[in-house]
Amino acid sequence: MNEVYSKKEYVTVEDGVDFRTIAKEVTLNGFPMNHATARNIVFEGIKTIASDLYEKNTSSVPSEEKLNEIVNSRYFQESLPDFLFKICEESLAKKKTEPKL
Amino acid sequence: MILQTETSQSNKTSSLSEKSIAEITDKKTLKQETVSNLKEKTIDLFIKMSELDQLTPKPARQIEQLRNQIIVSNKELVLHIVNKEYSKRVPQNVVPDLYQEGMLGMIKAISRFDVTRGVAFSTYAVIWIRQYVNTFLLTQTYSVRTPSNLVTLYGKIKRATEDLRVKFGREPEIKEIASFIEKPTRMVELAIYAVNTQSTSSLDEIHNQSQSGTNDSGVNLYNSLDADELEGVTAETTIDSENNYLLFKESFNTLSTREKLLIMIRYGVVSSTEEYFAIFGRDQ
Repeated sequence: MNEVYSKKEYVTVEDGVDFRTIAKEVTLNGFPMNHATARNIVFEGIKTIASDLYEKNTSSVPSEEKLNEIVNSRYFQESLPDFLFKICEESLAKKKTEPKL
Repeated sequence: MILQTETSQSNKTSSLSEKSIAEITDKKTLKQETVSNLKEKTIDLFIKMSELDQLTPKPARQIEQLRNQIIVSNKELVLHIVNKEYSKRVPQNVVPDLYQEGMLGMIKAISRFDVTRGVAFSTYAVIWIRQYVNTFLLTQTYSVRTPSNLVTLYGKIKRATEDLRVKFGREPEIKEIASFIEKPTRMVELAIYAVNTQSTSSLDEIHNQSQSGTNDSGVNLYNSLDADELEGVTAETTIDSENNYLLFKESFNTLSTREKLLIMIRYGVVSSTEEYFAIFGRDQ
């Protein structure tokens, strides 16, 4: 059962939102798209990050297979939301310290 | 004289027993009558409800009232099933939850009951009530949720293990169990693993207690976890994770606004587009 699921490219998250909801949300706010487009954009974005990180660490371009392996790895999937939250927190902290005009 | 009193006493007891038997039979017949009345009443309500359901436009309020009437008149059925079949198997604080689940099962049965089949409603509802209560017991009673199909499979595995142990005179292997219940070996392994991980233990629970009988207090789970974590954390790993973060941030900033926004929403970091722009600004 797990083997079947692991072959799919879907990412399962507990606190996240499904692609249909994301598509509805961003369509209403100026980024028109359907759920499939939303899914493709998210996966492409994650793959871009993974590929960039791989290149920086090993100075070589990852193969498609290697890239999938990295994206599906537990370590990568667990650290991704942590880093995203950290970026968000940093941005908020930066905003607070900025002088108001 | 003594004989006379004995005979009078025996007469009294026989008359008493006859009286009590008559009372019991009266009660039984009364109960049967009320049950049959209830069945007829329920069927009448269902017929009325189906008649109203065919009208256009549908009188939603009247249908709702009839449905509520059926629920109220049949709630004793749920109480009876839960009290008779489940109340002794579960802790007392769970029983009210089982009533609630049973009621949900009955509501489901009402929505799916077909009067034209000629079956009493209680016969059909019992299945749904048991189904809901069983599902609740399988999925909600443990702090770690396990899929109900795996718990059901585990029950089959246990029964099969007992049968095979008797048959072979030894502990059966997983392959043998799998072929006996006609399921893949992987599923059997998964079910055993899933059910065995349901048990939880307190962080304050003391383990690794000395067996020598001395007064050593042992180490609780919390302390051991803490120690293990501290062992792994060194200055090197901290710098490593900081470096990783900086590299990640650089890569993340190369993405377009649209990609960043969608990833942030997907991972639950922001809940809406407005929130994203409030944090990161519109001009990036």
